[in-house]
Amino acid sequence: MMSESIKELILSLDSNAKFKDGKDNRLWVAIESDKLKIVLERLKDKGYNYISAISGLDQIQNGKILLLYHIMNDSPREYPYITIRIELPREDPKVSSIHDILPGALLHENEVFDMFGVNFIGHPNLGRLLLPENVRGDVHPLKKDFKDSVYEGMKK
Amino acid sequence: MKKWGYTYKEALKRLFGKPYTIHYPFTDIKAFEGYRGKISLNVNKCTGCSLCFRVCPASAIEMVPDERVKPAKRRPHFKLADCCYCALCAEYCPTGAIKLTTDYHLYGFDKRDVSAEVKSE
Amino acid sequence: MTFNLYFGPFHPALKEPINFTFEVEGEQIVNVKPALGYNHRGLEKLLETKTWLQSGFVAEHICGICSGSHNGCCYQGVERVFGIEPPKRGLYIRTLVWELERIHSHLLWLGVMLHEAGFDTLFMYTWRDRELTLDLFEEMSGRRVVYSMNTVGGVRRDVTDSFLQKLKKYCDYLEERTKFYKKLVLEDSTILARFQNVGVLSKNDAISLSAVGPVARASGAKRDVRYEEPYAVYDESPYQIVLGEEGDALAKTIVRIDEMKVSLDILRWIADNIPSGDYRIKFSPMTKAPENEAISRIEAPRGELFYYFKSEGGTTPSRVKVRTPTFANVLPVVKMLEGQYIADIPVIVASIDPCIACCERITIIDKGKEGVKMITADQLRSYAKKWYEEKYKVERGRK
Repeated sequence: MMSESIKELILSLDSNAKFKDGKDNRLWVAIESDKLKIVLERLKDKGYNYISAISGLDQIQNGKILLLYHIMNDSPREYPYITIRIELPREDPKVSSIHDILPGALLHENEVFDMFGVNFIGHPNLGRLLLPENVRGDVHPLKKDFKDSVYEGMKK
Repeated sequence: MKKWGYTYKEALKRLFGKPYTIHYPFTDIKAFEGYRGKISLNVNKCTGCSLCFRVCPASAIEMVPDERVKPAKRRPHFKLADCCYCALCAEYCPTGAIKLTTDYHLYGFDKRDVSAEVKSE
Repeated sequence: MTFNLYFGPFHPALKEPINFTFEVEGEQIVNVKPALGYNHRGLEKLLETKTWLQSGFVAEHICGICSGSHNGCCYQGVERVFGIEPPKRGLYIRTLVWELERIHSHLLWLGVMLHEAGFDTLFMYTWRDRELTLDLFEEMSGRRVVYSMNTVGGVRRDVTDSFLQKLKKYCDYLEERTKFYKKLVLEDSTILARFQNVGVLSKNDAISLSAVGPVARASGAKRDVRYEEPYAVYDESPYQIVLGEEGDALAKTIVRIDEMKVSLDILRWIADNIPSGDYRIKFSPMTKAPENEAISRIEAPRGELFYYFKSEGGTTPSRVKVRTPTFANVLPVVKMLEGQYIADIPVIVASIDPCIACCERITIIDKGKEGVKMITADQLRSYAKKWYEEKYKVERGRK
């Protein structure tokens, strides 16, 4: 099916890519972070124009921050819904911005910077989006080591 | 011409008829059966198992010691100002002591004054 | 010379209360900068502290109008994490809630949209019809706005046969009303003057900026999760995708009115075909989840609602990502606003279906004179009316 051709395409760009097939026509892909841009560019030629979200994941136990790019094809019934996963180091995470390939990702990148402190290289307006602009320093609330008295009291 | 006749007829009818709106504090709208309103707790049925406390998504339930019964047991205290009226406590209550009444009149001068009904039947 | 015009930010019902900074040249908008986060409540962090069963009840307070969608989408994701399949009757009732909610949301939106154009009579009409929907919700779920109908593995309350009969009658009544609204919107010259060719989003822009929901569909882009991956019972239901062409405010109105009709068809089909049997499966509140991750997407009234769950094998999720539809529609509305007139701002911003409370506080800073003016929404509306009257006087004079 189409999912196989997508797998071949990604493997030709990144030989270390790992795949996991999900239910409901889903495809989970893990690739290297420096291959992200070229993979997304090639997938865009195949019709992957829509980005649902970029979700960050803080894995404090292995010192990694994961970024998940959820993208969808223009003919979604044939092509699978892809989640691309990249790994970044927890100290000083950096990845190139994809807003020139998928313009819809602009605000999502802002949000990930806000919540996880990931630096998107080439982003035109990287700054606080949801937190107030006057929050300075390394305050990123969705990181697991973020301390806040309110949330600590809520954990049962 | 027909339009004007209709207008006058309607105007006269409304002039002498009952008002279209409801005089709220004097006449009341009854809530449908199964409405999730004010919480009522039956003290005699409650065993103090604190399942409602653990299941509450809004952290609106506190377990407090109840001196009225000897030996003293822990009873749920509902902070209705925090409550989201999801009725999970009533759903998971093993003895059926917690019920949600159809009473939606939840007002007071202070939000802490609004409290749940405590019955002992 | 350009002026800066600040628009926003208080916008209480959505996760995204927006502040727009418009650069205006005379009456025309040259550049728009959106700013978000005035009402950020940290719900994603809060959801990490709640158990799997509790998460949906917290999630449904994200939005007051599409609370059923958030609730259902959240539990659909939790079920995928656990690998549970809810019983068929539960899925039918879930779909019933979603479709009834779409009608309620679109009626509310239609009223607000027409109110922005100065058509208050129709606003009263649509909200009266919406009241019937809320009564149905109260009878079915026990609450008018926050329904709490769904749970892990089904729904919490069954529907009775007498309720389904009532639902059919309601569908017949509302079908007539939607026809009436469509006729009015297409024939009334005031509405046409305010809506036609205002806030146009081309198909290419809608696709490249990842617009969702009726905003994308009005431009002709096929973006509907019910079409993309039929969840719950949509693959069996008489669902049809509704597409517009022009992408202006009128097309968005027509797409939403037509969608209400499709929703009514689905509701009638549910009332006729709902299977008997269990409507939920038992779920213990302190169950530990397997190590897993899941994506849940549904079509909320405003567009694609996206939930991502990550479980590390505990009683609580280790990460929940929520992407609400309006967040995706911020960039499209910025595109729509460029090159438009100040008088059209309320209509264009309302056309993506946000909560319109943000219109209540607008400051115009005149850079040349260094003076600050405060305008309320009412003033802006009356300004818009005056502006249009003058424009049409000039046009009539030419004729």
